[in-house]
Amino acid sequence: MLKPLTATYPLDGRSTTLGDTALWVIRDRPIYSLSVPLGEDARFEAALQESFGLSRPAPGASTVSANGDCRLCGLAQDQFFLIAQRAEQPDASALAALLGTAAYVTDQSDSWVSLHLKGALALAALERICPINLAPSAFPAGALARTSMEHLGAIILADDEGGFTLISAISSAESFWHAVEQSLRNVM
Amino acid sequence: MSRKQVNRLSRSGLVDTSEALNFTFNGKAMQAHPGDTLASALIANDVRLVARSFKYHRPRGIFSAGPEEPSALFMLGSGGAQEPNARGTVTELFDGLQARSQNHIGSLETDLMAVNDLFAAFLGAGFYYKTFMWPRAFWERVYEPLIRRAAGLGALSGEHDSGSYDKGFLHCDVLVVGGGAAGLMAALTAGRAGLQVLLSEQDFVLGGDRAGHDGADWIAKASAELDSLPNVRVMTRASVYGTYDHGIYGLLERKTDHLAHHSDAPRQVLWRVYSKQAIIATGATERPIAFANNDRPGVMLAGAVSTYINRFGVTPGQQIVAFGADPAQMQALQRTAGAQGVDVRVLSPDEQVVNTHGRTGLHAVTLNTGERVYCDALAISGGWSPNVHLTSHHRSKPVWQPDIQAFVPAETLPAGQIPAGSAAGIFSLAACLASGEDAAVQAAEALGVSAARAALPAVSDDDATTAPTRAIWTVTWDAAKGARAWVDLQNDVTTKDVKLAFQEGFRSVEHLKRYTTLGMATDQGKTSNVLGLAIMAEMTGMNIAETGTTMFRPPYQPVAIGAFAGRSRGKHFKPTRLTPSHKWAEEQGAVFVETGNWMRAQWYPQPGETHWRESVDREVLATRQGVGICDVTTLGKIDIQGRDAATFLNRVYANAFAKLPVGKVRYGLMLREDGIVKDDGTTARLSETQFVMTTTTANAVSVFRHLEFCRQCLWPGLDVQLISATEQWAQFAVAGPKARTLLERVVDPEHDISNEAFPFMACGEMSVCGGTPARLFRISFSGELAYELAVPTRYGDALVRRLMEAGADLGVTPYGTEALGVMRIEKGHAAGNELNGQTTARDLSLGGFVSQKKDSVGRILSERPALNAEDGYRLVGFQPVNRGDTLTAGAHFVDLGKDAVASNDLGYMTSVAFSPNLGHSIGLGLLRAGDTRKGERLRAVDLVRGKDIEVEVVSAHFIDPEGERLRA
Repeated sequence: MLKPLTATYPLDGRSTTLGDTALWVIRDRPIYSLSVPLGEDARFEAALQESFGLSRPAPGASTVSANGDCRLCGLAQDQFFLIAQRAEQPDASALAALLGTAAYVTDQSDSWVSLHLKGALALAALERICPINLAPSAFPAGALARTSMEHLGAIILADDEGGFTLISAISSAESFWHAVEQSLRNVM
Repeated sequence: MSRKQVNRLSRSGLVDTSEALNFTFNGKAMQAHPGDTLASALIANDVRLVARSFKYHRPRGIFSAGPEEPSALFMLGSGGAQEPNARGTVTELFDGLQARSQNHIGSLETDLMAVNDLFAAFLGAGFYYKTFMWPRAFWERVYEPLIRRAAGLGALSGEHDSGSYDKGFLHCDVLVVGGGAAGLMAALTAGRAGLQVLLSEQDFVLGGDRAGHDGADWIAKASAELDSLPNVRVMTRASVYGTYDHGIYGLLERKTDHLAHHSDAPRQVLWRVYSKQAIIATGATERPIAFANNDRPGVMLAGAVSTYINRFGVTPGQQIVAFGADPAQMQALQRTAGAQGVDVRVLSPDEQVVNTHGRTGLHAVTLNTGERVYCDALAISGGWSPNVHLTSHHRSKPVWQPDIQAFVPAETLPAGQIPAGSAAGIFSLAACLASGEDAAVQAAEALGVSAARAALPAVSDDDATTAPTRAIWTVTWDAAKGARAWVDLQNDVTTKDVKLAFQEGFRSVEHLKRYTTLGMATDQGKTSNVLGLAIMAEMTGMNIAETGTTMFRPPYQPVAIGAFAGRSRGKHFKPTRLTPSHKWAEEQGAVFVETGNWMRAQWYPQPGETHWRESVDREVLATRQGVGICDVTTLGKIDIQGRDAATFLNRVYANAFAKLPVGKVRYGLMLREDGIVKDDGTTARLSETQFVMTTTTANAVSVFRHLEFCRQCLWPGLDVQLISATEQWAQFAVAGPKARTLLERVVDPEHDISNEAFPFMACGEMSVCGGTPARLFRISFSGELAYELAVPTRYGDALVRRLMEAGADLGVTPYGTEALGVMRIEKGHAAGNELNGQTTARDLSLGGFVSQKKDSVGRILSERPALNAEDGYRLVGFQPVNRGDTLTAGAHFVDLGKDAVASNDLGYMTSVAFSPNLGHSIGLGLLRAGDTRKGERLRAVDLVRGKDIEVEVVSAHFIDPEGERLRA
């Protein structure tokens, strides 16, 4: 057998803590795009429920599976990101097999870098780069938005513990890290 | 308290006299206290002459106590931190502050340029236009430098700004602009109702012009309550400078400018505020009065005198004359100053100041009665102008309100805007408080929330500005003596200039402004504009309402360019995208080129190579003779799925796609709706319902957007889903006669990639290196036997290293974008230079790709006659007749013997390269009826580079025109 390839990740293991606010890279979190075949909403929703115990979120919201293993994020009317909460998740083909023709699945795990920002300064730091209103009243736990930060497309997700997951393209991971870290430094 | 602060009063107002701060002015050490501004500190130290005027270099003093200051401008800091034109009235004093006066030659006291004042008769409005007419050659080289040197403000250091800046986004239900009486009550009322409130105040204390006055305890109480409300955010040192669309406001927050020791934190933050409602409580600005020599140091707005005495505990003079439109205001000043032992003489309604005396500081005034009154300060007030600017940034013109002799906000305002307090023409303190509450109730109602009214602070209007019932614009003086009266102190515009403008026909306010420069200085005429209008109105016989105002535009206050740039400086100006092989390429010493945001390897120099062409030639030859590898991850990749995906592609591509078999790739040509070529690329069919499209690097985003538009808007009935997969896959071109041999060493053995099993234009999902998922496409941009191999991005770095390792004995060579370009030109493939947004498929000699058997985007309009003329462009190849000549892109073709003029133009060279395989320069170009002219000779004329080369028209396919190599 040929020698396997070794995976490398930009920003691998990168983290920083300023005051009591921490920023770190979430490693190897599978992300799959799911989209709904035209007119197959009922089948899609049933498959989600059956396979993951997930209900269909509205755009801008997310739901968590019954066992807490994955979160389904509503990106658009008919498009969702299934974000695994653990690295050891079924791969794209297994997922596609699981959902059958009830959803179109595209592996996006290598497309994105995910950062997590949590702590007292998180909101103030994000005010510097994120045009979205992140006040808890406007952006409660589970809310998400597609937006841009420092000219980079980004997805922001408010988690249940007051932190934020920030997702942006892998090729510009260094620029994205710099943007978020600089924001944190600027509010110290 | 320093003994030198001779003008410091016993009642210190809001200044903390228990602590001393050291600062310098023009190198002279002085002391002040926390709570002082540079202006109040200079007044405390009895510095009256602080500046020289713009044009005449007249001595100038501090004129106001706020952001409207026209005269007291300073240079702060030095080197990269030097800031010119800083208004001393809003510069918060800190320990170590260094301030310098500006715009003088020699010392401030003996400015050599003051000679200008002697020639004032020749320097009136329009002087430059009339004088510096000839000779024409002198305009830019002689006159402009001279004028700029003579008439200027502060200077830039020429160094990079050493300060750092940031920007940000704020959201609120109600934005309250201004923390004076009305603003505080508005914020409190809205805050108590639970609304998200942002209160911005440009000053570093709240309370507006009531701050520091006796009986103003309500300010502290209001401030404390606001601090206790979690839904209210109070920002001081924060100026709203512009009203933009949809409730968006520009806000500049000064973060560290007032600190002696800056951290690395940004000194200023430019906020974009998203508001649902905005209460404009920006107060009012006092107007000067036009009388002879009204610009002398010691002449000050009456409200400012009151502020210096009450808030800062300093007095601009010991003997003050008060000359104003509102007797109550003058008397209040007399009382508060008198309590501090400062003598104020309030002129009676029959008395007017007609002239002032004193060289660099006031020592007397002459009244209309002929009396000469000795004094060291003159407090003037011609009336008050509401600060309507933010209400007018959407072009609504303020309305003249005769009873208060002032412009007030128009009835039609930007959506969600509510003026309050003196910005709305309401001047008594009690009425301002009530107005703020009213505005908040109105804002809450607009948001569907009920805001309760509460008892307002009990205040006395005794010492407050009350509604003026009259204004004083000008007085009559003996003009025969040549004395001038200033309207715009900063731009040195006098009443004489306004009259001259009138006489010369510049009578509309916009012409008046531009001819005299009234209101065009850095203060934007905050104190002068309305006075100028009044003088013009007097001359035209129209009233002020008919005369109107000039246009109001952001920014309301100066904003440093650095603040607009924010943190987008240097390499952080834009994001950088790195390919999966970037780290490896860096290790190879690759030279990179920016393509959009991507950094791509341009070539890989080897030891001993001294010129880029050596590297590129080597890479080309190595690829054509053996095998080369190029990272092509940057090409756009779009995952297209759905039952109707094939139908969808058949409609977005000009050529047929409906019947592309699974496991095959096809070249696709995409047109815009107008028939011009949009993009090209290949699309592979991975299954009955899944395709992957590649786009050019440059058009990755625009093609995706176009497809989404087609999917969502043109054909919503098709079952198609799209998602970008550009970032998901690391993709490498493996090209050259030994490409298959190399790939067979990494592709897992269960996958047969022999020519029979995996022919030209085959594709498939497979695995490499013991199970890593991969996609292989047998496509060729170089014209060689070639593949593109894709693996998940995380394996890209490992894959390129493995390919290099596995192909070492084959002479595998990495090649960059330059070699890529050379090979595609040798092969005659169109790229960005040819797909330039102006070319049709026919121009590119790809007319046959536009299928007539189906409909597709752009097909109909591609049939327009003008796009199908017989003598239209065709993409053909060129080579120099003299093989030693080097072709240049951009050269235009002209028939031999014809002149190189536009009427003889036959087309232009789009791409050129040195072909190491042919040993000479080659080119691709668009030539009229080019397909019929092969073998002919033409001139390729490049007027820009001064080249004129005889070329031969040849096939665009310089290498392997039959395509045997790529099918091998």
